[in-house]
Amino acid sequence: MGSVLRDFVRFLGREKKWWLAPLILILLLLGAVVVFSSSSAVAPFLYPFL
Amino acid sequence: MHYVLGISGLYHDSAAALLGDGRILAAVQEERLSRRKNDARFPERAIQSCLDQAGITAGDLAAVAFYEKPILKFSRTLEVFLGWAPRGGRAFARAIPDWLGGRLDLRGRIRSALPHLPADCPILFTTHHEAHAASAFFPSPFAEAAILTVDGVGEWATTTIARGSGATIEPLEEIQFPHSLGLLYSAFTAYCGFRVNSGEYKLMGLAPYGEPRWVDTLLDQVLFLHDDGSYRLNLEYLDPLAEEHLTNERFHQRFGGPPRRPEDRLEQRHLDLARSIQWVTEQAMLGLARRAQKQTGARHLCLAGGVALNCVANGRLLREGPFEDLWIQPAAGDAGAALGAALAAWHGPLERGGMAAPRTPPTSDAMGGSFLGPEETPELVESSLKRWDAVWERLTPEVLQERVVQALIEGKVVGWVQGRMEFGPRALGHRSILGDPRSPDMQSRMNLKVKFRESFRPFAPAVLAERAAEYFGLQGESPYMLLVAPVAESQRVPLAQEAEGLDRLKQVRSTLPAVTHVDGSARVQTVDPERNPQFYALLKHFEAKTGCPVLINTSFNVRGEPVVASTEDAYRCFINSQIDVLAVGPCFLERDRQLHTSLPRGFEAIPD
Amino acid sequence: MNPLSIARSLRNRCVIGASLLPPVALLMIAGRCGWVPVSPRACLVAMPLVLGLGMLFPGVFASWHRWISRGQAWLGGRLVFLLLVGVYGLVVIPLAFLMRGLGQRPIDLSRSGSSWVRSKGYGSLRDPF
Repeated sequence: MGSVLRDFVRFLGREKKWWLAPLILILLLLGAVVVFSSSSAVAPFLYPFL
Repeated sequence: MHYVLGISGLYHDSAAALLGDGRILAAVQEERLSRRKNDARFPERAIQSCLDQAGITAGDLAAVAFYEKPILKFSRTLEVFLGWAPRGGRAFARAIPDWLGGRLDLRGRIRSALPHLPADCPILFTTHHEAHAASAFFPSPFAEAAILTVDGVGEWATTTIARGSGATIEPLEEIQFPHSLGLLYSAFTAYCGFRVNSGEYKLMGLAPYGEPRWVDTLLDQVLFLHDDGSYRLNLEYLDPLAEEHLTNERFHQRFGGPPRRPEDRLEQRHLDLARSIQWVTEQAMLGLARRAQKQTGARHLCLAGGVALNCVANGRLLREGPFEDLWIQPAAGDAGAALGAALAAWHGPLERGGMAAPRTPPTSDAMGGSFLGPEETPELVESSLKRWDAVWERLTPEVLQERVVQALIEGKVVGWVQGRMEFGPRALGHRSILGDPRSPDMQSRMNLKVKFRESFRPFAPAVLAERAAEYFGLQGESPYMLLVAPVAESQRVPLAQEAEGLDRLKQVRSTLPAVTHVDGSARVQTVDPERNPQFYALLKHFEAKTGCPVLINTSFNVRGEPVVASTEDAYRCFINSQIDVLAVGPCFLERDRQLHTSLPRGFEAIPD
Repeated sequence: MNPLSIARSLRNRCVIGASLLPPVALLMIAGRCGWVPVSPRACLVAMPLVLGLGMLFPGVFASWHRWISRGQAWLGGRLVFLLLVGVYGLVVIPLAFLMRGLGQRPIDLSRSGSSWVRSKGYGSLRDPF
């Protein structure tokens, strides 16, 4: 996910679309949680506490 | 040798393609191997098949190219929602999980699918329309050409004009989302009750049964065609973020009712709508072609993108457009973009991260007849048949052809599986169902009993290239079945009175009734001995026996099934449909000698 | 057995063991609220035990695991949907109106004039944007 974030920063810089940054950041953070909770072996551990 | 792998997918029609020193070694659609039509999953099977065909592993790859820029596309998706808000909340909540679940980090996805990929092997990204343009120009026989790509949408572009010259493609101008000819055609496809991204052919096939009653409404209200070839959509009638239909209530009121459900009867209104949107699409394509000619000054045109599969429009482009000649990528949809991505990486300039390889235009084209898929050895064919307790005879090529031609003359339907599988949506004589085109009831019989699909859908003729002009009004060749041409006057049979609507299907219009559509046209495949020697020999044989150099050629599958790939797929389809004879590799099978009368289906049926 | 397959089997055992935890956790919550006469402390002790049980006999609990992961996916899907609808309402819509207030709209909805846009070139092949 680190390289994706780096790509986004370079992309927003090139296109001067900084206003997209907050939305992208929120979604990427959310993405980290969603992906984490569905593909990781730790996921079932989280489940009782969600 | 330098190997470049191209990948497309994750939306519809995933595929992979492999180049070896710039030569196209293999290209396969995922659906053929996964047995799920229009399969959009990451094409792991197709990639493996390409590597196997070349006898290499991922460790031998010099570059991998993906057909889209995921970050650009994601940002476009977000911007569309920003432009569309406050509507679109539901669509947003449905669309975003797919993005976050693996469409963004393509590098990671590709590396995890190819664990043996060398760490220093670059993973490259073309834009969607760059991949289409590369797939249209680089394999074409032209040294210089205008390139027109038209589809639903890639990143932002929906239509692009580029100039191809030698090994470079220079993009000139584009039309951007939401203004999209492909999207509009798909909106009408859904409105008429067919599935988006696969039912477009049906709409096109339905068009000649209708009248162009809605053209004026369409041009006044929905699609504005400008003098400079560009166009705009009126978004008051369309909802690009809708989940089921792309059309809204206002559209439904204007066009005479709610969308047709797939199980509903086809009414005259639907036939008229099909005719109208087809006509308007053709006009728009002619305008785009004129613009492309003006901007590039080129004499030749290369076409790709989903709309380039509209062979009726292509036929008009060739006859009425400003170009001397036309070359269309046979896998014009997104599958072909896998090949385009690989070619763009191979010829792309060094400063862009490409491999800067020069290009010599091929004499015919570089697609090799589009026979780029896997092939089974005779031994493998026999062992597959044995597993299914099939009853077969192994014959020499000459005897096999003799027997197949005899069966065709007797009015039998033949399954024909020979050589490498086709790449692209059309079966071109390697995974085909064949029939005698002179028989008046063959179209209905093959549609209803063999393919289990709507009786209005026309079949295509395969004709010996050297005799094509006697039967069809076609300039030049059409080896990939991408041009529709009128059946020649000399073959036409005059009608006493024209029937109405779908009743027109039953009227005999030419000496080849099974392949003549109700408007007197046919989607022609010309067969030549260089690209397609085996199929050419069969046609020659049929011609020698009957004087007729034409056969019905339709893809070897039933409704909802991808075209067969292996002997096993072919045998199951043969048993479960009413195909009379199967010729797979050197093996000859007759239906009434088989032990099975039905077999479990080997594919996931996708409603179409 | 190579290290990779050992790791895989260990991971599977962990996942199956963990799928036994939710009922115990629910029981613990119910006990704490006084709905059932179960001591939360006993539940806490039971947790590593059921985890170990699942890890020792993964075959026995495989179908239970399938059901619970199906339920989890369903619940997760609903939760994500609601979360994203929330993001839409709280971030996307305000941002959209703010931009429109500033005279910007990312998609071109006008009906007249040429729609040709000069191409900016294809950009570097190395970048996914």
